[in-house]
Amino acid sequence: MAEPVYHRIHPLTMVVELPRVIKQLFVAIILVIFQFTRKGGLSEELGFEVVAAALGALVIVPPLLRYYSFGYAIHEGKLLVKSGILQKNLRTIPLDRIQNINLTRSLLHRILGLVDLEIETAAGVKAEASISALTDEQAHVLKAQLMGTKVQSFSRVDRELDRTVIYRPTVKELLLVGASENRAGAMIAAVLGFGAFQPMLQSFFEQEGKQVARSARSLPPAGWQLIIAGIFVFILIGWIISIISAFVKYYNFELSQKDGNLKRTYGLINHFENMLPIKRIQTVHIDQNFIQRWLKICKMYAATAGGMVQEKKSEANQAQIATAPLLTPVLRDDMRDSLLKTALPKADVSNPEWQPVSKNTIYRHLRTGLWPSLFFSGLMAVVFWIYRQPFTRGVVKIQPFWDQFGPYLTFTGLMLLALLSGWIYWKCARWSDAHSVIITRLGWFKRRWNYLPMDKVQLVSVSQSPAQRWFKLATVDFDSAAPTFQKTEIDDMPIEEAFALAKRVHTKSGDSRDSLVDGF
Amino acid sequence: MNGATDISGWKHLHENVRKLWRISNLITGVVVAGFAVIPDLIIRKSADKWPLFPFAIPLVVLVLIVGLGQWIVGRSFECYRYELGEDDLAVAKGVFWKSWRFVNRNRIQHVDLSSGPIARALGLVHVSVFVGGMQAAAVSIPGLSTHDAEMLRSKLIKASAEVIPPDPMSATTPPPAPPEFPNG
Repeated sequence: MAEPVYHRIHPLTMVVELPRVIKQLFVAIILVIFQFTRKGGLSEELGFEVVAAALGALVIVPPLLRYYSFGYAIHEGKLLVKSGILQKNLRTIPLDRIQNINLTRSLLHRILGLVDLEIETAAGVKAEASISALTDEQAHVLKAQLMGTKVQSFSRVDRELDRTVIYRPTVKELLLVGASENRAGAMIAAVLGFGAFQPMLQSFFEQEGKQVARSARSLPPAGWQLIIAGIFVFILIGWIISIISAFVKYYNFELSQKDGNLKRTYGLINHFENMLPIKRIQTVHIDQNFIQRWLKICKMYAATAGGMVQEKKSEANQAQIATAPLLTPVLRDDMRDSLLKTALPKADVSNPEWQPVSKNTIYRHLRTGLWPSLFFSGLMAVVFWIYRQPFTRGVVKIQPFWDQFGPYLTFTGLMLLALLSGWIYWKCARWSDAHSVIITRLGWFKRRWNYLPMDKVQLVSVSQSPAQRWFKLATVDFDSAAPTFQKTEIDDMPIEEAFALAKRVHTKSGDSRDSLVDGF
Repeated sequence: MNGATDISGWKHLHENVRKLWRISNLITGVVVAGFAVIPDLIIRKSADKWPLFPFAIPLVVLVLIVGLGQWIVGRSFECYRYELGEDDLAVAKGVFWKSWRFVNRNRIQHVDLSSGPIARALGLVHVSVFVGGMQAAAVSIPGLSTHDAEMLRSKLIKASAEVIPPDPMSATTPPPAPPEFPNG
């Protein structure tokens, strides 16, 4: 049996690692500097050279040690990664277990011509192996070997020709998605929050001593307008930042297909490349908020059993781009079917026969809302009663209207909210299990579609809350192996139907052998 | 009870589980009541006239937790059932919030057997079944006799080994050639 041949990472890795090391040793470095620059400190005895040497050693030694101890090899269908000086680690990853591969370049990487390579398997949420950093060519050779594809010429021209571009959003689409992303909710919340805050502020000014009251009164009417204008500017700036960040992050986004893998490349400053075997896709998720619905754009995600956890704060590299299982940050509505076809090649999910949930869901929402509503209105009544007692009289004054109707209004309001949420759920929630794919569509404000092939179902469960039992309803849950969008669930199906669906999917999912490896 | 939710034919947990749950409920009750002594002392010290007898709060807490708990233990033992089917394992549980979970044998990644000191004294083993991609156990059976647990585990794992043929990818495609790097 031949010994594995270990390869080193690129020597310039030490330069790339500098920011990380400095960040990690920040406190130590500050301490050293302080110790040496302090009057009568060590520097007067040792001199500037020693200070510099000490700092240099702190910064340079760890990457140097890492460089000499780190090695990787491909040997007999396995990837071996060794690391560590005192405690030696050897990680072995069978190549056929690799779920996806990320290539990342920060600005520094791009100047030096280096790439970080991350490998994810189905275990855990973090990348199982991180090889940082390699030259561009090394990385592409390694990637091809890991994916089990032929190592091809790595000239840029060949790489350009050797793929089918599936989707390349226009600049306009990228700007639109940045503009419509989440900010709407934040804006509304901010405005509402301010509205709720204002009376509190006023009562605060009235209660506190005259001095404060005077200053509040002396605040000219323009002051409130100024605050509102300030909040508006604040929101506007946040909005512009979100547009710019979407643009910078996803600049030049391209989704392409090659040898059964989906490849995504993007980034203006930090460059990111990801390879995703189509057969490893566990679930596909689409979401679209109501502004995007109006703009006819959406976002599509494809989750694998590997990590790719949303907004991962990587410690391995400060400059690393957060990776979500995002297939494309923006997608025109008319492209949706064709991309679904690519991601789930064996299914026809373009025109699902939507099934509604039980209409009893409205009553169920009311029933679920009953106890919390009673609790909060009761609590309000008790608090008001305490305030009405002689010993608290005069501490806080409750307006007579609220004193009289507050609890009733609270109860009615909460129940109306429950009714509204039940009605929206009944109107919007749809499911379908045609073509061996479970599809759900949920939500009005932010509409979400989940596509889960039955082969990829790991666990089927039916559950029933007390309120659901009342109306003979149940929730059906399907878990996939993907950590994001793991659950595909349908609330409030009639219980018989729920068990029938669970049984159908359970039987079907038992037909496939190993859902983590088999293609769908 | 309608047909779909009928679990009356399913297997119970081991009889000793009831004992185990009762004991742990008692321990929980005593510990929480112990913590409730602190507010009791503070209130009695600061209030001029305390209408109740000393240590009323921890006592009430203890009675509530133990009373409710002991009742729920009985109900929850009745509701916790499992069934080993031809190619799947089903577990039903829950008194108020009910759930029925189904795992295919060929989805099982590993099976854990564990038992704490009290469970060990009662001869009980906790069986947890894990599937791919989930951090927590997909289903767990919190108390079988050691023999039953080992039987169940061997059945689950043996069956899954028979169902899953050797990995198609590693079987058909030869491992890639050793790497040839431009600057190894």
